[in-house]
Amino acid sequence: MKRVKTLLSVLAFCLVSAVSAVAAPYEVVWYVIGNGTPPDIAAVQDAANKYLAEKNLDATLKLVTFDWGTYDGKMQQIIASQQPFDISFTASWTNNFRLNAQRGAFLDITKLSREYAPKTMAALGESFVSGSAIAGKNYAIPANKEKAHNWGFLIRKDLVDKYKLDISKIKKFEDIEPLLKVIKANEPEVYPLESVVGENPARLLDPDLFADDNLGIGLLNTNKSGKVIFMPATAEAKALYTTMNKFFKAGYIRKDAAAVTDYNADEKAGKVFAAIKSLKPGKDAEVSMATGYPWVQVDITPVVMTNRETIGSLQAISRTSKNPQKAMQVLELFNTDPYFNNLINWGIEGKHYVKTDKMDATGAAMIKAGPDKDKYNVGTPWMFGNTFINYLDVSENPKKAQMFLDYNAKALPLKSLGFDFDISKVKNEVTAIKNVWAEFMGGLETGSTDPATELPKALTKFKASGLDKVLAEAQKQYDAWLAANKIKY
Amino acid sequence: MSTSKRIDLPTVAKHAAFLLICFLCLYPLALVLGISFSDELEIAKTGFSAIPAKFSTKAYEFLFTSADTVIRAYALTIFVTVVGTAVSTLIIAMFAYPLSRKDFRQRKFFNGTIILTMLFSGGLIPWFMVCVNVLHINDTIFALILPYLMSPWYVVIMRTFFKSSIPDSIIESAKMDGAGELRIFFSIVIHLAAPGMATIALFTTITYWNDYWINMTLVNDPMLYNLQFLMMRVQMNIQYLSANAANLGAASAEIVRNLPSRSAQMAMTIITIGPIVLAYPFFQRFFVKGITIGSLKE
Amino acid sequence: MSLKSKANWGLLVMMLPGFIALFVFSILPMFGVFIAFKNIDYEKGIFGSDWVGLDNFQFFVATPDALVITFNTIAYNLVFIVLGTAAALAVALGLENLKAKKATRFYQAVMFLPYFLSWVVVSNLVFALLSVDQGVFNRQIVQPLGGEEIYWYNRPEFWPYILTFANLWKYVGYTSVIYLAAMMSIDPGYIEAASLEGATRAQIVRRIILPLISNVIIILVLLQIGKIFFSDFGLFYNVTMNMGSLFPTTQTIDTYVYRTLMNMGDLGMSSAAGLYQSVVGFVIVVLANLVVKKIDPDKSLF
Repeated sequence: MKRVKTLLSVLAFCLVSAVSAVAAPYEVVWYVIGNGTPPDIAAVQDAANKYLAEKNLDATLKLVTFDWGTYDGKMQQIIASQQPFDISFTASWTNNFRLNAQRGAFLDITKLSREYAPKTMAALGESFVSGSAIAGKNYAIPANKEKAHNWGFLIRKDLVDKYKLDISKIKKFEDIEPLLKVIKANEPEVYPLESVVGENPARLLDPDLFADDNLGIGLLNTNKSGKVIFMPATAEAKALYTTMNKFFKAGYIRKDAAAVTDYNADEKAGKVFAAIKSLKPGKDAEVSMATGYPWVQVDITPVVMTNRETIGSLQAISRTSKNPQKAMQVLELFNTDPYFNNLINWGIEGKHYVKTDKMDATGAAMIKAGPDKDKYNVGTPWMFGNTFINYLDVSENPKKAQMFLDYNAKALPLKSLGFDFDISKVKNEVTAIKNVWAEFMGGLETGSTDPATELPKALTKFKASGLDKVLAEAQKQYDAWLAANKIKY
Repeated sequence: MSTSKRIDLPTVAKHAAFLLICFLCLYPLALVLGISFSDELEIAKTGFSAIPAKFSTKAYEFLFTSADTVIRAYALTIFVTVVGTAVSTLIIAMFAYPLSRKDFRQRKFFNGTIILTMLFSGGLIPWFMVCVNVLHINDTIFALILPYLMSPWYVVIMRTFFKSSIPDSIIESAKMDGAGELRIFFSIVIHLAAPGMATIALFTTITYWNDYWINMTLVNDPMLYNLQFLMMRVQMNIQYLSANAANLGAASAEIVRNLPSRSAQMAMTIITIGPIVLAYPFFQRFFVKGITIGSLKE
Repeated sequence: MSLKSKANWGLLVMMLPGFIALFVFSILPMFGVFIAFKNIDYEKGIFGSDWVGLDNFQFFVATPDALVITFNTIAYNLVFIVLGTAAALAVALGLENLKAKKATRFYQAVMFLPYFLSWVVVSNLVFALLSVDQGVFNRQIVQPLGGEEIYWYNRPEFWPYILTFANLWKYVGYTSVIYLAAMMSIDPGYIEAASLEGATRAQIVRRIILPLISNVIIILVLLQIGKIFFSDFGLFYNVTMNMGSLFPTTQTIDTYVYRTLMNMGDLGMSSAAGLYQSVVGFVIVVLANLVVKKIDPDKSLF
């Protein structure tokens, strides 16, 4: 009797769920990174679902935001235990795009994207889209934003003016030295050159790295030659480490540089004179506002489009998605529809943001924070789809979109764009090399150890860890890829 | 006069030693408190100090921007800790007691199980799959309590306490009187092993209070954020963002700059250890010298 | 006979809730051990992925530092076990017969405090003390005396002492609670009788207290030996500020695994790491337990 009852209730449950599956629109579950779940997420989702219904997409959206620090771990768990979801944010630096694509966690969307998101793909441009491919297949849709990068100095303008320094002559890294000397002599409380772990002038080498930043294997920064190099072993790197160590000994760099990762505190306290930063148009104005000190920027490295940008911010569809088409259609609407995109980015008009009278260059009203700003403030337009249809904040340059386009146009697309180094055959060597990297490179890159003695030691240890084997494997894969894609140097 | 001095000297030395140790334990805490009330910029300029160079409550204001969230997290954490500790201590004691009994036949089997689970684990992913796919406790309050109910470590310690504080003769005589196992356990065993029970209860209290791992793995609902996680996520975000600044490019700079780092971290420590410090004196009451067993033996 | 089996049923019923919890959260997930021998490919699913034998374990020996890392892990653990046990016992014995009850309570509570500070906070405190530019030590002690600043974070030779001190500082108060509780369970009659017979404190400690709590000591030591291939990650990673120059004396298995597998997200390799550590710990514990069993079967772990 009891068994019959259970059976009946199971049947009833199946029936109900089957019926509801037919009747209800498909729920697209989308995982993104940010400051955690915003309090007003439900209101924004309701508005989004209403709009999706208007557009007859027969889908609803469930947006799940994980914290910066927990996103990577949570996604690893979700993917490894094969939980069902539809879309997830992915990049080279979190929710590892390459590995997930290689291991089959993401769906191959080469066809699907052309079919269901044609406008998005057209807006991104073919070179950028193919640059984000893994072994010739697309596994995710990149965000449409600045597509290139370059490195250069940010220098404190007030100090430049105070000591009448000439920054027009700074063309390369060493040119900063006379300025540092002046600051060191006159401003004892200021570190003339910012150099801490992660944020230091070694960035200027700007190699086009394969696979992992802490592996150091790739090509020199403008890809002039197809020879795969190991960055610390190059003459360029040695020269830079030597200069850095000279600066360190001269007292231009803080003494415990290699133990510090928090650059922010020093900058905000006005203790930094010059720093190497990733630049873009208007970077100096942005940092000036954020730190409360005036800065000017000086470009050093050429503007290049690399794999760092093409896989720097993407949305992938999960292998566990029950309805990939629906997910792709939602992404298409999201990337092309200004209302829908701005809804997710900024929230509800009049509540989370308000429009101002000021217009940007495209004729859209610029916006400012609304009364309920704290309840929906994701602040991650670089992740969400399309910067070019985003509203601008009143504090931003009205011509931002045009500036980005110009910057993108100026960029040199590297030949290696779209190449992907599969480390699975050499993963034991890779782990060993990464460990040696952690041991030596912090000191060398921040200038706090002497390359004359430490660099040879490091290189010997890298070799002992199987560096040559990894280099040979990388060269083999790269040559094969060049041949397959008919790219010549 | 001279005899009393001779007795006092070791005692004085002992007190001096304990006072020194206490200083070593309290000074860092003073530093934490000092830094939590310091102005961020002053730290960068003048270095660290237990006495703030410039007094500021900004770190606390930052953490309390949404006071209702903090209060809810407090309530949740206290509830989980109290319920979790009560249930967990009981379950552990009930599991450990039979293992301390020499006449318990399946002792070997269960001892082996305990050792095995203590040394081996299936890893995070299988555990996660059990919690989510089998038990469906993710995003429920059960996720915060159930996974920590049993600890093989505490079972072994508890077992040892039972072994050393419960003489076989007492059990024997209780049995002669016709008492059942459960009755013996609740009316005799628990009382004799009070210091041991209090130790385990203290440790489980801290386990529940200090936990942020469950929130990190099994909870997405902000309504179920406990205190530690509320604090920990701020800290993890700061660490993550400053470590990945170069990858995030322009985006991270603005985000990082809005977060106070050092003083906030210290303020978080103060907030999270506040009430739990009171737990120790509470359990201390049970650390009294044992009851003279001789009187019970008869 | 019938009485005995009846008693066992009562005990088994008592164990039921604990066993269910243990089964669900510890035993059931153990199926995951097989992941260590697989190359995970989600297209094939976790269960369908290819078997790769011991491939995932190889990265342990791929590094030229394998020996140093293993040595560090074991050496630190041995030092922590010996000094930690000695210090916790000393503290517990010191508190056990203090007459001033209020002071005793105060000491106990205060010594427990460091346990509440996470390693991340401790690492900031250590940095606040030892930083070259901002540290209390260099700023407030060395500079006024006109001495030369010490670059603590570039001197690997100091760190075994610093880390040992940090470890003792954090855990002694915690561990001493267990010993103190064990001492409290001793029948006071024994000690009273001994003092009446004129035994000195040292004699009481050696002849009565230590033997009576020796089973607790042995069990705690055995438990720690089981974890001898694991290291306290926060202590070795955060407190050293992840400084490369300190690796020769501070790198352990856990920090190596973290540094190399971070962002590689390789499920197989991380499972292999955990399994390897567990198996070594298990073997050592079984051996140690055999020795204890030989001497006194009553005090063995299993």
